[in-house]
Amino acid sequence: MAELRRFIIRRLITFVPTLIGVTFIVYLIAAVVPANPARLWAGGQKANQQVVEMLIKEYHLNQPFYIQYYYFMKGFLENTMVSPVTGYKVWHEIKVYMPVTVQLTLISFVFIVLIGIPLGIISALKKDTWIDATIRVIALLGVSVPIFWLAYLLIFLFFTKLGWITLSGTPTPPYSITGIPLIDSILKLDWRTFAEVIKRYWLPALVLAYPGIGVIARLVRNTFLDALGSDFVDYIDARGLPRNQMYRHVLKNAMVPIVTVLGLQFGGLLAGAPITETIFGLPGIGRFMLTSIYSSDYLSMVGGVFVIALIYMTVNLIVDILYAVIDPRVRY
Amino acid sequence: MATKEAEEVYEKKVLDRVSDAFVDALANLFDKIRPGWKVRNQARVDEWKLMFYAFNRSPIGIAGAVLVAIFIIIAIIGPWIAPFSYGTSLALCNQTAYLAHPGTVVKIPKGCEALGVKPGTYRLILGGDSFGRDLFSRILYGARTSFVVMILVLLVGPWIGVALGLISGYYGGAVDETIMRITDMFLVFPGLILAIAFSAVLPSRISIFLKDHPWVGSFFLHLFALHPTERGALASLVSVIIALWIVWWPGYARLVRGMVLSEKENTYVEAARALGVSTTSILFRHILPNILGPILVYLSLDSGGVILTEAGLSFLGVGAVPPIADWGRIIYDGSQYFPSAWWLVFFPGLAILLTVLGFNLLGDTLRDILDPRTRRSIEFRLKKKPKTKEEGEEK
Repeated sequence: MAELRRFIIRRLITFVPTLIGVTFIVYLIAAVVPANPARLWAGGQKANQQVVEMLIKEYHLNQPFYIQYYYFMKGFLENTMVSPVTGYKVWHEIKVYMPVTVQLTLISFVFIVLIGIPLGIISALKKDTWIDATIRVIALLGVSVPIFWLAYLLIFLFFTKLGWITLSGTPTPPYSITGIPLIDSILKLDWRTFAEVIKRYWLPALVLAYPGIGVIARLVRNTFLDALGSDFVDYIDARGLPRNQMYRHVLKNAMVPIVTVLGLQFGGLLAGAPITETIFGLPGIGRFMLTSIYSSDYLSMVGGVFVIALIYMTVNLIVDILYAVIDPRVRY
Repeated sequence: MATKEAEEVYEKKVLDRVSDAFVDALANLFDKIRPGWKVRNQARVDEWKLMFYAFNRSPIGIAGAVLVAIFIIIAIIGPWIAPFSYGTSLALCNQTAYLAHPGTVVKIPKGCEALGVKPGTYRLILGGDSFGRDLFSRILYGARTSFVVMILVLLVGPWIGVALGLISGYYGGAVDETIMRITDMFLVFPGLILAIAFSAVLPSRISIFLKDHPWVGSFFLHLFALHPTERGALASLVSVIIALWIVWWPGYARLVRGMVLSEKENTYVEAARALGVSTTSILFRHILPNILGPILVYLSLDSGGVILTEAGLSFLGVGAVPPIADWGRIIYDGSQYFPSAWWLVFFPGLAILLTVLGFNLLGDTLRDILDPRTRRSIEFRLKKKPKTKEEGEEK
């Protein structure tokens, strides 16, 4: 365990520089490329010169970009940075938009685990049958289908034809513990809100999850087949262990690559979120970043980048630690 | 000599004879360019033939190859065979073309020559959009857009990663550490959002560049099969390509670095170094050809990814601007009329799906064939078994 602690410390040392690096790169391209952002913020061609100058002073736009970046990061972390376009504090906006994306991503992730892994296992166990072929086609379609197209087809089916879903508003309960209604309602045992959240989010989450389901099903099938071919399976068979117990051992051995890819999928879900949120009218962080990009509000955008990178890196760190728990052979 | 031997050992189908002829023609071509090539590389030629044999026995691979071939052919000749140009608004002449159902027959009266359409009756196979433009023609033009973006992205982006991965893996130490930390920074962040940011901010600079260098603009106009009047719309398309270069290298850098780490321990690298071959030459002429297989598999799997990402970007409103025909953009514009004008969303999406599916099927099969483990098993199955005949006689 001492090794694990050293590993975590080593990872945490690179954690902060990477985070600074990511935001710096994005800040660089966002801030340096457009010409005269202050004029854009003040209203474009007809902007009042006084306002433009005020904005330049407020956001240090007359200074080199690395100094601008320093002031941005300082203001952002101290929660004093105000978006020049919306007039809200950047953190405040992130706090408003984040819960939607978190719920969407969590439900999607549950779909990936609950659908992707069983599909892969069934496919491996029924290798070279029509069930296997069907699952492989479903999985391959998952990585080939444009999700915005799939979203419209499903909206046509479930909204226009069946009327099972709504496309406006998001359920917000009157209480707040974590700020995320899905988790709050579970903590409060408020099943009505929980059902409302699920009703609003299940279809977008499924659409968002489909490519991930495809990736995971394919991966589980391959690693499961690899593990089934190992010597220890013959040994277990020879010892006469029941089938279902054998599969448990096989799954444990196949788990390490699956967990890695599941961790990466989390980032994929966050990345796919802008499209899904746009189509299903969900006010999430992806939508927030899109609107800030469209309105040249790069300060809000870099704030969003910061939060997404932070989540993604934390998830990856947890995945690396999980290796040791799943597979005791792993040494750091 | 060796070819004859191969003929005896392996069973052949019609397709195999076609691929044999193709490989032989290729070998002869190389032989013309560099006399003596064929004799020296006989083993390689046989290996290529074997790969084709394996490929010919994979229905999935052939299906993928057919889909990809259709896509490429449409991308190349599409703009010529399209009944209308991508921007022709038939609704200006005949109101029935406005959001016309698939299969609607539109009559173009005299006096519409300004649109570039001859008088007569036309059937809009896939319907018309909100400007009365023929969806079928726009999808054909859209194939060109996707194809050009895909080729230009894959010609540059991944190779930046390959070069960085080669350098990083070969030199190791501080160089490796620096490059890989920068790679990590790009990898911890979802590429799509980065690409959106780039394609949103780049056009202003690109359009200035295109104004200063008109020949670059003309080159792209011909590439994308656009009218000269669309010169202003080019900047956003070029920005998408550059944005995708920037987000498409980190995966390759990591992949190549890993392969170089094991490859550089081989004796041939040491021999080359002992002979005084320059480092650049070792990297690009000795190590690179040896790791090219996996890179090509990744490229073919990524081709679909590039098309999908590009369509996603234009769906989000960055990238291709109207009236340029782009599959993602057609869906975005058509979504305003969904579901009553379902064809505006359905058909372009189907085109994306089939194309990307083709590349994925092809890439999957290529991976199996280029992976030595699976290829040996395919070869084993391919070999003629002289014993089976005897067994048959015995029965």
